[in-house]
Amino acid sequence: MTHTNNNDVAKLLRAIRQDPEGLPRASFRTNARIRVLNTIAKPLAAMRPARMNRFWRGVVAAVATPAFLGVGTVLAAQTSKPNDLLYPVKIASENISLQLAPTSQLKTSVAIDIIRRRAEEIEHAESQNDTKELREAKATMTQTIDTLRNTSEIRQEDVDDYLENSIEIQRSPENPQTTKQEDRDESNEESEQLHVEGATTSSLPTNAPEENKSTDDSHDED
Amino acid sequence: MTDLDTLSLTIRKAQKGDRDAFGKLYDLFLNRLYRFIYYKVTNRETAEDITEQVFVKMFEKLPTYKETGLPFEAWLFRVARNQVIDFYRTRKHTVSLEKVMEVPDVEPSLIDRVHTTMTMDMVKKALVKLHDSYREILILKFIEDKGNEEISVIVNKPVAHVRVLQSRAIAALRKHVYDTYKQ
Repeated sequence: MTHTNNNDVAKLLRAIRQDPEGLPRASFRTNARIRVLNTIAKPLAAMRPARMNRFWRGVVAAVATPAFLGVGTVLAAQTSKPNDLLYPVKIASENISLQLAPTSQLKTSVAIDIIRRRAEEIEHAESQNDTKELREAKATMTQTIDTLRNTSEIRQEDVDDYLENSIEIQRSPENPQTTKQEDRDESNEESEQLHVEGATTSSLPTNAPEENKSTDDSHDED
Repeated sequence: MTDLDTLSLTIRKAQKGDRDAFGKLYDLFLNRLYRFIYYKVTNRETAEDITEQVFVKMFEKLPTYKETGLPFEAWLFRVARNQVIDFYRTRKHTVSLEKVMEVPDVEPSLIDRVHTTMTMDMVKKALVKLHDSYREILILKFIEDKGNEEISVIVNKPVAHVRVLQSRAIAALRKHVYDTYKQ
């Protein structure tokens, strides 16, 4: 067997790299991404450093900001976007508006207006292809909805009606997909061992199949 | 910033729970992992299942990954390889002893004749018939274009052994192509 022949085999093997059969289907690519991210959503969130709840950050800003910045700043904050410096001021002013609305009908109207603003922020982030801003905007939307659901005197059915006709919010699933771990843990302990067998020529297998089996067999992992 | 720097930053962000960073790792490595797994298991649905499991497993093990250890891609391929092994183990898959590794002598002129008409399809069909260890080496070396050092890390075997496996794998592949040609 000549070197040239082996090179031609190698060329054909390399050509398999371009074989479309070896590419994942587009539907699988998209759906698996969603499934995987949903599966890991809760533990992923648990890995993040603890942050103050956005609502309370808004409250703190509502208390501190007017003393230092004034009404003009509050007005200027109304067009701010997530990650903007004045965004907490915007949130704080919304919370104050909500608290100050005297009747259930007005509170519900303010609540829907707040949700509409969150939706506009998401649309803005999407139009800018700003993934960081989009992530913040979606998180703020989720937080806003949670806060509004816990606010009494708001007519939840009116809010629900508005949401159904508005942007769909992705929520984490209740139960991420779980798989049996026992078998995997056992094999993973072996895979985590980084030791490499001694590379001496005397330990290399010869042509005899019996000697090959002990080192070549993939079930060596057992 | 180099590609490696960007990857390093993305990995660190993913380790801290950054969802976007994890999504980026998925986008970056999906094709390569899927292709490696597909040519190992030679079934699309199985390859999809295992590929998805690999990314979940990647997330589970990511906190323990250290950049001072294995290169990330080699580490990820090792996770994928172990996931395929687990898959066969849980299905009690047994390797047929008929997929022998020794290479009987074949008439040189016939080998040359086969060689001139060898096509990619013939090579793909022959690849399926190989013993898993041989197939894996050929996939990593020629389809995934990995160096012998990286392959040795992924399969956890010495570099010298990887070279021996490689030459035997090519010989076995040509033998299977010859058998197909003979038919």
